Amino acid sequence: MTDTNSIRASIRAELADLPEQSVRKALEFYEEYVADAVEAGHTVEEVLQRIGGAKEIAAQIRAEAALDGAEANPGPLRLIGARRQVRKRLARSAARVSMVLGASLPYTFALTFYLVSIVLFVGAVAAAALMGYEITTMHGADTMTKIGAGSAGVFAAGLLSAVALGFLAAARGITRVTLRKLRSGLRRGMPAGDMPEAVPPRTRGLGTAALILTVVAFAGFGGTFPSGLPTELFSIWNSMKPADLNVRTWSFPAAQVRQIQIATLNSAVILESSSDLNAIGVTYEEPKWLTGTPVAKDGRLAFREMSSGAIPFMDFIAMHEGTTSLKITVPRGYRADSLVVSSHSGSVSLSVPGGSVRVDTGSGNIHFDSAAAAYRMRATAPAGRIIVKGKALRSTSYEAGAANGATVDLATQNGTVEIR
Amino acid sequence: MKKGVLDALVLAILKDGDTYGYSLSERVSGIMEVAETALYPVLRRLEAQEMLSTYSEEHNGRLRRYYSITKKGRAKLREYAEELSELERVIRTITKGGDKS
Repeated sequence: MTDTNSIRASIRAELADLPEQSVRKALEFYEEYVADAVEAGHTVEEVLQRIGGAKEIAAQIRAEAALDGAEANPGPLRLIGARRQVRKRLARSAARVSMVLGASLPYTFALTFYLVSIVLFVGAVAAAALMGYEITTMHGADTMTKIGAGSAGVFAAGLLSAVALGFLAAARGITRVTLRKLRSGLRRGMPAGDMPEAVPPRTRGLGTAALILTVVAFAGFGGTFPSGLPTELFSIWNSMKPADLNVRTWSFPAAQVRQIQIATLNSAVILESSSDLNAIGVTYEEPKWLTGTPVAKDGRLAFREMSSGAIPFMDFIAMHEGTTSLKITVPRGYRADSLVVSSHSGSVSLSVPGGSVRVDTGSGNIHFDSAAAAYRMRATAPAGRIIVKGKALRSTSYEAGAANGATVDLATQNGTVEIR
Repeated sequence: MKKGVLDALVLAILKDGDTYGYSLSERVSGIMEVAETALYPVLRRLEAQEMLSTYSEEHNGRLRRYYSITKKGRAKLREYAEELSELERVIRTITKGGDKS
């Protein structure tokens, strides 16, 4: 005769990590069941064959406990755990196949929704952090603009987290559907369908939180307007030239400049020759959100455009070609030893000779007029196009010219290089 | 339509009088095919939902747990019965249709 004590002990050992009370209650039920069955004339072996051995009973209790836990407090890890326990319990049976088929769709949906919700929450935190960073770096901004920027951050973070909560609520709902499917899989022979839940779901908190976040988001949205920030960003992004440009001009004796070095964020750079025979002229259309001053020192003329810190999202705006320009005019016949121009997203137009010329842009186009001198030319545009004398090339790089002429290097990431 | 058939069946059996696990299981399996171990979770859940209450009585020197339907359980059973009688009408119509053809 099978020893019920040893069965009880091995079930207990298998379930050592589960709450003592639920294991005890379950064991009591099965023990009583076996005892009553024996009284009714069956042997212990017979009963155990029907309800399964220690391993199966333990797996059953464990699967039920995992389902209950996931139902009381739905979450992705609990759902994954419950499904794993149910699969384990149904090992290699036909019920497992039908369970897997019935539950796999809602299971996948639930996990996907949890994932989307997590990504959105991370996005909300990132939006808040980014805005905090922008505000601390906006040293040139007035208080209204800072409030506007902060409100934009509140709007973005609030909206993202409200949507995230929506996905979370949906994920929890689908989790319950999945758990019901899993549960009916566990009761082999049972018709599938809705099973009443042991514990009423807690979702009221989620809805309230989502509502509050939405209100906060819209308050943030409204808060951005008094500063005029949205319209300002909108007009910059839509390439509207600001009316209040500060046009600044400088002049440097050409004899003192041998090298020219220019870097802009998204202002266009134009280098051309002029009729002035002695001076290099610099004209900069300075919008309120950018700043830069040319400096001539030790034979080198340098200009670097930077954010003035007046508005947020400068990194974002700098990805867009600007409407402002930096124009440099050199005397006809002047030839710098070296010309180095780089721009994040402004275009560069060059029609003056130089000993060595190097132009680098991210998304800006490059126009180069080679008529002025003989060059050894090299151009690359890995994600853009190269046009030589009106003809578009198939390749993304181009080399030409005299072997020992002055070198010209033109490189753009995804702009167009046009050589005339 | 097959909502909680086992739950309803357990409540219906208990309506006729209190009983214990093994006897309940025997009666359920006489009516529908159910896994031997399926009953315990159902009972536990019905208890958690206060559809049934339990008490223990001594039997042959050990405790035997009896299950008893509650007021809430009776109300739920009536609900099930209404749903199922509708289902029954549908089934009857379907089987009649099948006989004719």
